[in-house]
Amino acid sequence: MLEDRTGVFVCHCGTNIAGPVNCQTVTEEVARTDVALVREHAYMCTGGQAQILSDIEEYDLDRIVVAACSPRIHEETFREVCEEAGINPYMMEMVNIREQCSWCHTHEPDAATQKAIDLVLMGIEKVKLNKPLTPIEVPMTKRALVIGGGISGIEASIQLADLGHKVILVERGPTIGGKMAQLNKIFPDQNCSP
Amino acid sequence: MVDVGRHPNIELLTVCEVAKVKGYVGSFEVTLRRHPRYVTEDCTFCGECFERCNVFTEDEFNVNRGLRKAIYTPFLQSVPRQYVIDDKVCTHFSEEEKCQKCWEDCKKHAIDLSQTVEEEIVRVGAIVVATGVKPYDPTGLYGYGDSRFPDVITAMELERMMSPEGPTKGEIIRPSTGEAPRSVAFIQCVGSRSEKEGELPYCSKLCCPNTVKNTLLLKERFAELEICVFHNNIRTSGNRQEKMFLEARKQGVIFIGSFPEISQDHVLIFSDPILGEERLMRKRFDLVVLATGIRPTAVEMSELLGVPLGKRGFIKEESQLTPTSAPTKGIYFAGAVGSPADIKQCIEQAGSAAMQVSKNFQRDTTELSPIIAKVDLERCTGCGKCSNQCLFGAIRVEDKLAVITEAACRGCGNCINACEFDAISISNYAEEQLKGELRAALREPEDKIIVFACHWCSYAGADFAGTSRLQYSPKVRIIKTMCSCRVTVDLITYAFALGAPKVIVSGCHPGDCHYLDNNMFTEKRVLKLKEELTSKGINPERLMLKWVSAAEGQRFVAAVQKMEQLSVEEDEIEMTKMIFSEPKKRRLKKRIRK
Repeated sequence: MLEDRTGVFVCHCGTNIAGPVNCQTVTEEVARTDVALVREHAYMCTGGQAQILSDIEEYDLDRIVVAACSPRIHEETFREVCEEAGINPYMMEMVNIREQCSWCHTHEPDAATQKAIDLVLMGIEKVKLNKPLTPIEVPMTKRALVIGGGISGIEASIQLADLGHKVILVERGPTIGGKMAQLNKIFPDQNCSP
Repeated sequence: MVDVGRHPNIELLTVCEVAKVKGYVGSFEVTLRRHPRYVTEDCTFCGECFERCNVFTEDEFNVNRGLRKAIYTPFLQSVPRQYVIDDKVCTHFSEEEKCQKCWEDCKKHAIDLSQTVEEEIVRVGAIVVATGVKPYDPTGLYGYGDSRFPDVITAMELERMMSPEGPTKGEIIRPSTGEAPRSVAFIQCVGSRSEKEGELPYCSKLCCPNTVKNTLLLKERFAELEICVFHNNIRTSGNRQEKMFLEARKQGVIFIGSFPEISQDHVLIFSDPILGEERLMRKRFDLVVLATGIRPTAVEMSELLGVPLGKRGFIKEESQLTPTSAPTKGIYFAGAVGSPADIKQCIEQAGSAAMQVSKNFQRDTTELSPIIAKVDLERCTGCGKCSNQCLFGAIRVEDKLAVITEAACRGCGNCINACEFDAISISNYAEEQLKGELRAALREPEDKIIVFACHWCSYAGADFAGTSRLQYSPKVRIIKTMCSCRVTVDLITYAFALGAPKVIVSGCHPGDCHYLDNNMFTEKRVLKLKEELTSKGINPERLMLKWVSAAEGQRFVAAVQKMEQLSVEEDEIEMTKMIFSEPKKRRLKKRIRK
């Protein structure tokens, strides 16, 4: 079996991360482990993308760890980079050293740096056992069910039908119209109910 | 309404209910229960059957004020334009004589008394829930429904009374005498904005503008009519509603910020809004109209579709940014089923829901996350415990093996807790991966606080703490799972075995879980483990369960700070390590292949 080839990319996010966290220390510490490559960049999400692309190719990486902001922000970005570089997008783990490290331990640079190292090592442990995954494709039945024939159901059905979609509108009672049909006039303009 | 009936893309099914929903986005299998209408599409609405029918019952469309026949149409503009027979009332279905006068008289042969309930299964790609609301029943409040107070009616009854098609043909009368009233009192917030049991804690939003509208319509007809509105602050913030309110005041409608009590002969007793309880006022009114709130209808839908409800019983949105999407992919909702909404808002939401559905229909397939459960076929014995545990019905046992319906699996990981054979796992959230994270986090375990955070709420809550620059202890190590229910007892005890002094398990608040109510399983497990800790002489405070929403950065920090203050002796940590280091006896697969 070929050895895992993990690349680690540490983002500075300008000074957002690199202010409290000593990224150089993080890089040096992580480089002691058996990863194939550790790289720093000022902005991994922008200029760093090209760096990741070329590094994956040059160092023949098969999985990467990106230590940057929250995965809630850039997970998709880096998954796309992986895809472009020809590795499975799920062979990437993001490590949150901004929202959950540098921003909340601003005045404790040593502890923040130590935490960042731990977080990256945690990410490496996880990505080691990641498996390439493919999103599940399910066929789309192009017909909608609308439950309830009041004003909302009527309007949703008409909008969908006008867009060219087939609609089944189900109403429990003998007529559509719902509560709206019971109203004599409707506010604010005292119009008759539609 | 008429457009629905004649649109070629809409199949309208009335007297029809949704009995069962299975499947997932792109491929929902819906069982429809079609009740008999007894009148076929050949009906031309000529009305001869209606003329012949002699059976009467209360007219629910007119809030039971007035009568309708057994063969009827709720109102003249009903869609579809077809009569319907109410088989609970029609004597053909109840009595010996088997009346069939309508059938005899129908020249179009559109009456079919042999129809029965039929079930039909349809396949759809997406579902819009628009079941609306039901009015709050004020029986008992302000003497409503009590024969001593015949002139206390609800806003909906007034609405029907004012309609030219209503039971009084548009005449405003006192039900007790049939005469026109000279004074009318409206009472707002009846059964609403109240913490009393059985009443609604929220504002229904429609009652204030609706009352103001009715005062204007009454003033238009009877300029001399005396109108008082008793309110708990008038809320007319919607489009052009404030203008309406000012107009009503200009026309002499009196708004009184006080809550009356009713006594004999429709006399309302209320405190003076300025002098307060010290000065009680008494005034007799000819007609009292109760502005009642609205109740959600979502409970039934929630059970049917497996979508979670909010605290007040309305359908819960996936997030604030997707106000018409239910947390289940492919299910959307519009109108008051989600929260009280006026007609304008219902229409807006219907448009939004339609757009969401249409987006799904732009492609022939849809993509679902591959982070789902996987079965290790070598270990699985087909015991079925995982299947029983799964609230999404995504696991079935076939040929003595658990099989995952990939599209139905949401990847929460609750099944893992049920498996005694380590045979089920979540892709890229495998037990070994999370344990690997724990090992890295606890290289130097002293003072560390391990936090398990769910992807949707708690992890986002921790992010929010960071975004808000809230400072907390750098000893915290956060491990993300999709749902808190993924955190097995094994994982927690593994952390303790590695020397973790403190562990926090965090998830969405009860009712907010993104996987139905799976966080309730988390609660059960954590509480049980805390008991175990106590029984083993370990301080149970070292394990904390905390619900943290995505907006609760403060709450996250408070939990961490509380944990930090807890002191744990080294001896205790060592003891805990010893206790949990013993490898758990695992059941081995005992399966004989045929």
